[in-house]
Amino acid sequence: MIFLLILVLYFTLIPYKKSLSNDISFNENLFVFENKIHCLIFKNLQNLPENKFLVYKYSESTALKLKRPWSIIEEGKCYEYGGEIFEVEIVNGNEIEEFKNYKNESIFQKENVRKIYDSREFVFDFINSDNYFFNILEILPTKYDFGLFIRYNAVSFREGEIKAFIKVEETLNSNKDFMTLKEELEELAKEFNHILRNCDKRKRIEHIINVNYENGEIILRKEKEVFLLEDNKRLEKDFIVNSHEKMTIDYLKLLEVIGCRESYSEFINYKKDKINKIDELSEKLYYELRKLLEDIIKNEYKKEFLLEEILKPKDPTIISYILNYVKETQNYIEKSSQKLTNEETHANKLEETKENLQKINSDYLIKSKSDRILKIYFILPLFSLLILLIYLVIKKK
Amino acid sequence: MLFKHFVILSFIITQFFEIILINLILKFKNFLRTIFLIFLFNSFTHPLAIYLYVILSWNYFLIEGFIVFIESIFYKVFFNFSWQKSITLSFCANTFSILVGLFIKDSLIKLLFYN
Repeated sequence: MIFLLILVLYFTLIPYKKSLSNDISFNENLFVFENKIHCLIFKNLQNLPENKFLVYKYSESTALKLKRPWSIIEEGKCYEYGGEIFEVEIVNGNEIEEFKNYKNESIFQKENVRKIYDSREFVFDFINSDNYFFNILEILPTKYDFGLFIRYNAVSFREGEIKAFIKVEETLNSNKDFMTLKEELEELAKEFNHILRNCDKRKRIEHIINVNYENGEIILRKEKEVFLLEDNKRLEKDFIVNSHEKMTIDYLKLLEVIGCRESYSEFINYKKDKINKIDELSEKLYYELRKLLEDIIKNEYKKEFLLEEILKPKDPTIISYILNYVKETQNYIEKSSQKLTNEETHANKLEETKENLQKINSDYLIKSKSDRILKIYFILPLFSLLILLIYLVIKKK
Repeated sequence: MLFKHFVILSFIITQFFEIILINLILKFKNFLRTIFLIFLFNSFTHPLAIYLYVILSWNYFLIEGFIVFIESIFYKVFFNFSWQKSITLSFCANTFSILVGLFIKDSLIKLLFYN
């Protein structure tokens, strides 16, 4: 055991000390790494009400390995696949302590403990999932977004719309451009999925060992088992992802977290021609499709809806965000390979990059203003009715 | 052009042209009060019409009739017009905004979408 501990310390202390070379501290934590695992990373926990928290119940095999049946979920940390997520409401005030005891499994039967079946709000569904095809399309810098008949086939229709749906499907399936487009996208998604499996460099930290320097002696104290990502791979605290439109930014950040940013950027650069071909095909198809829909659907809104479901122009800000992300990464790779000695310039460059990314991000947020306008629009009747009533009351007085 | 752009655009067209028409008919009497009230009437009926048409798939003419009916009540209650005048005003205002909307929609789509 001692030998193992020394071995582990040897391989973890050196990189960790390197990362802290500028930090003069007498109390440090050592992170003990485990091998790469496939895990869930949580997000948006700040959206939970203050009286609620989430618990991750491990699968049997994981629980045996970890010698612990569950964990209280914390943002940015890594939890092995195969478990279940529970939401716990704080009623007595001692619920957190109860769950930290890891003894009484019957606490999951309590009324204030609820299993979460749809965890999309809290979990990145990006890694190790079968729906890779859906995700890759979010981060391709193509000019169009693809939906019905490409990413999925099921969509709910009213009776009167089924005929139009079938007609569109038949036409598309006999369209050579559409079939080529579909094949090209599928091929890209499969290739990228393969790359993702290889570039994923996530590590899980199994323990924290507290190191104290007292009177010239080093005292090691093993703390409670915790799960943390490396500091430089931890998600930002203000990293909020809550809308479909921000999905691209969400995925790009996640690529960075799992260590796939470089591979992704190289992949996009390498596939430039293919992406251009996809753009050409999509553009041609888009106008053909618009014409076809004009012939078979008279209702303007329904026509627009169906067209948007199948193919819609991507927000240009998103495309430029992706391209900038790729470009910045390429610049970074080039600079790293040149082994720059001037660290100050490098730091400035990184700072500049960060500022640029922030600018693009804020530009993007400004773009999404029209959605807020739409939300206001739909609550407008309530407000206007209220004001009319007040007006009437004042007038009568 | 996206759905949200359609909605916002049609809302602006409705507001603008109904306010102008009603003020013309009323010969700009109580100009500001009329603008204020027409704006509120449309803010109530326009989202309602969009909801009925897009989400509940009601018949287009049925929705228009329904909106004319609601706005007639508003004209009766807030302007103290006779029922006949209220219905006529409401009918004229809505028909006018629909016609203007239809007339300029295609050129707007071409301008905003194809360029």
